[in-house]
Amino acid sequence: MLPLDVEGPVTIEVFTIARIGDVLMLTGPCGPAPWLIETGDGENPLDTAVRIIKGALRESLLVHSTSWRFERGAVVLTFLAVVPEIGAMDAAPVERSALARNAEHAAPDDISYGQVLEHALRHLAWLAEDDGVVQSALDAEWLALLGGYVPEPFRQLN
Amino acid sequence: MKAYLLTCMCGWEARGTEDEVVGAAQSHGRDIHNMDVTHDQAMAMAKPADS
Repeated sequence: MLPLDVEGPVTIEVFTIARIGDVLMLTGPCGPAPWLIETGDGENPLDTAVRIIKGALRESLLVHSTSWRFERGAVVLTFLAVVPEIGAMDAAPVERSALARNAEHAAPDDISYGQVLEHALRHLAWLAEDDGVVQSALDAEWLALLGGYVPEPFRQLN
Repeated sequence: MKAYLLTCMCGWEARGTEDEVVGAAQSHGRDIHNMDVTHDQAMAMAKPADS
């Protein structure tokens, strides 16, 4: 383990996404990668996530939790943060991934961050069709972009 | 004055004197990862910048 690492029973993982035209980009203060945030004893993870995200990003359109998993001895809570601009942060296009599939009563043995992000974007795409808050936070270009993540039988990626 | 390169677990880097990289790491830890970083923790991640 590195001498400095995110610790504690709950880890916040943020995927910061932006769009350049019709290309979805992964970005963030740590570049195009999962952004890990520690939670202290007694801290509400949602409050911590919003506080750190608001402090680190100039502006966000939306912050939403999308999944959880148990990894490296901690519960990892995943959030999407949608930002209107990438600014000086490093960024890379988001690539599509196949979802990690559960067994009947067990989580997948191994989940890549690309699979977690794919799930998060499908979650947001569903909300974009169902949730008025999400619909009002995102413009028409965002909603059209997320349309490509709406689950459909033929959109299973292998 | 000796220069150091400090790399965070997330890939973020700071370069400078011991005081500069420790200060930068403490700010980065607090603001980005919600972590309190000690001087010793920061220096454990630092390497001489010239090597």
